[in-house]
Amino acid sequence: MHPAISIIVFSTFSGVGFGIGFWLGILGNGNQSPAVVITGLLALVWASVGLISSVFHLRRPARAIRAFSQWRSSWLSREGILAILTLGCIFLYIVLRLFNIHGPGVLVLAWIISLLSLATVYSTAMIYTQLKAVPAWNTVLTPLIFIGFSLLGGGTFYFSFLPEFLSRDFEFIILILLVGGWVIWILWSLRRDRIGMGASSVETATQLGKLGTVKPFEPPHMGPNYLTREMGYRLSKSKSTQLRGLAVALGLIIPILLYCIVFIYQDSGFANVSRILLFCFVLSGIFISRWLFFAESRHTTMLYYRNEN
Amino acid sequence: MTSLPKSTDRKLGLVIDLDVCVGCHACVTNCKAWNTSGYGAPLADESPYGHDPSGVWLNRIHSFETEQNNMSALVHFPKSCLHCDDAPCVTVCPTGASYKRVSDGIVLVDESKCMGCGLCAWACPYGAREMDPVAGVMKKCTLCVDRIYNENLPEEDREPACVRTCPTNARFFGDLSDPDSEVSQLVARRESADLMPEQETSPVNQYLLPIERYGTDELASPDFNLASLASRKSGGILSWVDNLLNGN
Repeated sequence: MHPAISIIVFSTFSGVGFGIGFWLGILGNGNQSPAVVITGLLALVWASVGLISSVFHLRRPARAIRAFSQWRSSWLSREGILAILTLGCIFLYIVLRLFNIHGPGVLVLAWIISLLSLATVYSTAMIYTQLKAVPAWNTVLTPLIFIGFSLLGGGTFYFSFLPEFLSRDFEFIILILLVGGWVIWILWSLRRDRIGMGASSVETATQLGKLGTVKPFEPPHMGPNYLTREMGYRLSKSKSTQLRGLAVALGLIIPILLYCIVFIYQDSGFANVSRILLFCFVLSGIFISRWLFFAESRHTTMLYYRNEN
Repeated sequence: MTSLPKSTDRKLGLVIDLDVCVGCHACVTNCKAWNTSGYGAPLADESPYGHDPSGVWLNRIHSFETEQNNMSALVHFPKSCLHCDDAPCVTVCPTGASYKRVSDGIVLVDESKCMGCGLCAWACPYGAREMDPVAGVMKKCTLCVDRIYNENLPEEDREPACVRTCPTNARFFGDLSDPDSEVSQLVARRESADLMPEQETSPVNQYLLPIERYGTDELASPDFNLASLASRKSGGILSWVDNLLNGN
């Protein structure tokens, strides 16, 4: 699949934004209001950058408002509605905390923010997971990656910029998310290599298997078309291996080293710089992995166009 | 609503005979001609001429080579929207632009609602939908909805442009839910197939598969010599003339 930068920015940034939102709901109530308000605002900014980026993928962005109408059948529509609801709840929570309003209602609102953030990221993942035509995406591992990386990105944000929010236990949870998120991504990548076109093949696509082996002989036209440009992206095996290595190095290995440095040089300037670098590296690793999520996945339409074995 | 109807009153669709299609692209050309001037926005071309031509087509012909026991065959394979009963392109649409009609089962795009996100094209396993580069909306086969019910056209023209123009009669149009229709009879008589049944889309369009025409057992035998079919039989006046002309 064509790795469109607007969609990669959308899912990465909104994932981090709703990850910050999820942890705000968990951690916010026990903390002072100025930090909570600023964190909530940053969650809004991250998620909004992602959502605005998704609009650049539309050919008729003026009609985007219609995308909220088909929640009964469409995951993209559900994602839009949940995203707006979550942003609204975060905004309301910030306002309440800004005026130092506490109480059971605010506590429940925080929990709702956490739940809605998870539901939004799950819906984002389901936009891709539901597509049987892209067998690499059609797996429960896809929502696990999106949710895992969202919680990791959001959690790391607190670890790097707001360590006073986190108890020692929560700092350990960051490490678990770091390893867990990347293990799921590695499992997804290994499955992608194995799954190919899934149950589909040129024989099922043409139903010509009874005539023997089937090979595409001539495409319909000489040049590329919308379908081959959109769904025919191909990444060489060597480049894929390099980029996977880079994603794991930036997103997992360097952050683990930085995590160790933070605990060895507690509260020094060196540790604080390491905390901030950790977020940057995790984010760049997630970004590359999301690029690969698109670039490496193949669409069954290409069975009609070229030899896909 | 982009939810699919539980059932449709009719199932209008195409039956394509892969044994008859010669890959002449007449259906492709007539489809483009009709649909660029008919229903909805014109079918645009980003680059109609030059060294790298590219544009939107609702019907494209692929060709496949098959091989078995050293016998190969070339099969021309027209492909357009299959108007699936369980169309995955419809349910993913967030704007309500994509829908399947209850009255005849045709899958259509309401171009005034489409925001051009392209998700329906991703959802289609067959590659039946293409984004119009100028209008910025999704285009697909309409089964010539503006021909088949068009009372301004002579009755013989009230069928899809591709079917009307096919010079070899490889394409048929009709109601596949009616067991007495011509298309249903064809499907019953010949071996037919859904494309990619594993995708669980329940396509309406049917493909009639090529009939096996070679005695494959005979061809598979190691003693069979293909060259013997072409060798000259001696004797007779034609052989005498042939020898004379060859200077033997």
